[in-house]
Amino acid sequence: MAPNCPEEVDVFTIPHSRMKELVKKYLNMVSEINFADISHLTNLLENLVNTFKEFKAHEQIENKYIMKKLKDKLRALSVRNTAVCNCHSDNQLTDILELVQDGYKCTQKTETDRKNFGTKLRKALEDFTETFIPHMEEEEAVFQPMLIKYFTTDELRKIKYKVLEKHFCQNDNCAKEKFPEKTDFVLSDSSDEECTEKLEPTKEDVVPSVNSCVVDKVPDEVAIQIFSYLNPQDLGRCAQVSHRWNRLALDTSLWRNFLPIQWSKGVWSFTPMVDIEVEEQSLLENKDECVAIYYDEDADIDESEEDDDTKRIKKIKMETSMLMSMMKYLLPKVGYGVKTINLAFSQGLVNGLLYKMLSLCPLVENLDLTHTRVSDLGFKSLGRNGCGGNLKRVDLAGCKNITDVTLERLSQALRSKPEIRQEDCDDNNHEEKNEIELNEKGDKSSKDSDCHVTCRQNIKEQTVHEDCKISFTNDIEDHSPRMSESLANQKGRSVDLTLTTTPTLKVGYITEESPRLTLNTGNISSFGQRTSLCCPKNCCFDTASVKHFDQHSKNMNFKCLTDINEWTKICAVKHGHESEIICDNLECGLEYLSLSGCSHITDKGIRALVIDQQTFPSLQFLDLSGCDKVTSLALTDLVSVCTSLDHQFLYYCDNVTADPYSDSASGCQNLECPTRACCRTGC
Amino acid sequence: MYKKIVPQIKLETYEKEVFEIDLDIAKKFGKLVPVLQELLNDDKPLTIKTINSGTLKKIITWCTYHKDDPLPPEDDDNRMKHSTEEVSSWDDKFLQEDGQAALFDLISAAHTLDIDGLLDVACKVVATMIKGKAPEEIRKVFNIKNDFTQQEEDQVRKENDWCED
Repeated sequence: MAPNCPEEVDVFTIPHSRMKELVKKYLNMVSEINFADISHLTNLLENLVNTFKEFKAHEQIENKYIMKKLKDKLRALSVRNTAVCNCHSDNQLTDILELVQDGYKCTQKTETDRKNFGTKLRKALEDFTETFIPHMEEEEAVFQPMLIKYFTTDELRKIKYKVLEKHFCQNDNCAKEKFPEKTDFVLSDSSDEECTEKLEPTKEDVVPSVNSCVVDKVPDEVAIQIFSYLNPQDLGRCAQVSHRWNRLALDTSLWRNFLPIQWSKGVWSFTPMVDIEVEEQSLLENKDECVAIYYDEDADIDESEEDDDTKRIKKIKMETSMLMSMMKYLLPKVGYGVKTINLAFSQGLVNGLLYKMLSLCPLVENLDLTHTRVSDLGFKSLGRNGCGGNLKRVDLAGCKNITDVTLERLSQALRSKPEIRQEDCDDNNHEEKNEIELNEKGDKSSKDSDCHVTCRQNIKEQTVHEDCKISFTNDIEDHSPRMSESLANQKGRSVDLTLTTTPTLKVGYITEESPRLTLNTGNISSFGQRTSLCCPKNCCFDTASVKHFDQHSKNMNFKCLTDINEWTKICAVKHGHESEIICDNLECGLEYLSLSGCSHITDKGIRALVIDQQTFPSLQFLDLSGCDKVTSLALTDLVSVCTSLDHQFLYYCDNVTADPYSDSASGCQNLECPTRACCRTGC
Repeated sequence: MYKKIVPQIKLETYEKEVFEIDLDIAKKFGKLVPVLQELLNDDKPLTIKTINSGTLKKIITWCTYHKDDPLPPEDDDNRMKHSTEEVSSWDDKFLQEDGQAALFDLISAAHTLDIDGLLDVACKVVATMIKGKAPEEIRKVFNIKNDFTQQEEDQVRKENDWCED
């Protein structure tokens, strides 16, 4: 121990005590061993390899993290010190390691050879010990005071931390990599009593203050932010690192875009990067071949196809096997987070895959199936359990196999709303837990006694099936003038929060899971001045409402928070009286529909979309080019309920009789297009 | 010449060291700003036990260097664009020069103090350390214990085989 050295800046003693113990241990072993016995010798050699590897690592760590820093410092201060310059060459260590390696050869040789080797080894080890122990003492006696002289306490503390951390890592790795079956040897005694002696220190003792892994200290939300900069391939690898990393890398929030086709081409990005022109070109080239590939999903990938050497088949095979693997393992975990599915130009996609994919991603908003071979069967899951209820963009251009049945399913899907995941709504424990959380939070947020929390558990049940509008319309002033919090959490559906006569709504929490939130602020003037609304980053607001909100409440604090995870399990709550719940059907949010070149579509399919007074108030793009069986009657039915459709973005076959929108609409888009159906080109 | 008086706020670290920070630097401290402003006229420093002095020093350096940066865009589209921007070489060097432990201390502190810009670049730097590495390499880089049993590890590898070509 260095003289007068405070423990916290002592960078040498802890590692050295371990090294000294190792020295003692091998000396004991060597003195007792019978070199004639092969098994003893092998055991000894293995132990020595481990020990000396550790010595070497120790010296390297000291060189890198202590001596180099010291040298740099001295250089900076223009202090010359020969001791510092000429230390720490680890040649001796390398020599011993080589000698030990030689020893392995001796295990194959005669007894005399082994005995000779033993003498040599003993001598070498003794020589080594003679220099190694003083070397360590020198470090403690000479360098430690220098360190204290030239470094601040803070710097030394950092160095110590680093040194211990590195030693720890080294220990771990070394043992694991080289001799997995002997992992515990250096830390405790091995089964062979004769050549090992007990070593007390465990890993924790060696490095008392070091947390083994700094990453694990990072909170989940930060880890997820880190992961958000990774591509899907990296995420897949991260998922294999540890249990925690698996959970984090497969967090649904990271998988909003599902683009397996470009991924299968090695374009590992969450941003769509498909070059449509190139794809269409290759589509043209392959058009005449008409190679229909049918994929048996249960069959082994390699055997299901007779081996064709063309690149195309290979590519399709790769694509399909990747799609299958993702569907089987990835989507069940992340499907609920998927908002965009892009399978455009997929050649391996078949109905079965699409069917399963859609049922695993019920909250999908953008579905791009341009130029795929799918037919009605693939859409069977639409509308079931609310699957597809959030669809905004549906691109089926060039899916020439689909018929009216698909549109019927699409219509059904658009009229339904996705359900909460089973585990969330069936579990009664959740409900109980929610209430506790609410009470706790309620107590915390407002200290006045007349504010009590009412959790309407059946809000949850009601909202499972319907979009809901939660209105605080009743007069609550007399009871609780400080209705302080309203919370709304709707998994995957729009929430309509009407705040009509709420006197002093202080905080409205809307969690991340509420994708479409509309604020109907009603009688704004009755809002108190301390109104604030917190919402997570990716929550969408109807901007008009927000503006409205802003204008009328003076100190409105509109802020985005990310760290309100604790609220996500909470459904809806208000302080004071029971909340009044009005449920009504929201109109469907479809914004984009392309059926270009789907030549099997008829009036029946178009009419299926507008059944039950379904309206499309958000539709801004409608392409029916090449749907030459659709007549002007059905067309008018559909277009008349698309209230915000600018006819500039309405396309349909030019040959429609009694063209209802001939002046305003944009006509057929497929006239020049060689890949999609059009009445003129006759494809 | 007279010296311009800059309002300062005081922060106390884990080591009980008190730092005085100019308000125009502290404005990077997102949700803490209003709290800090209230403290302006108070002599008592705000104690943040989870942050050590070394880390706070770094944070002050970072905020000083970036104090004239435009605020990050509010809307989602621009935020996305913003988030794909490269880390500047100054930031990269600054964040990595003290090793991994210090970097993660900085991340935790940036998270606590709500310094979006710093958290953003620091996370990107960590992400760069992960990119392109095999699971075993990642474990090594961050010294993560493999807590999968052999059986679990095989299963997890199988489940993620789509990510290997």
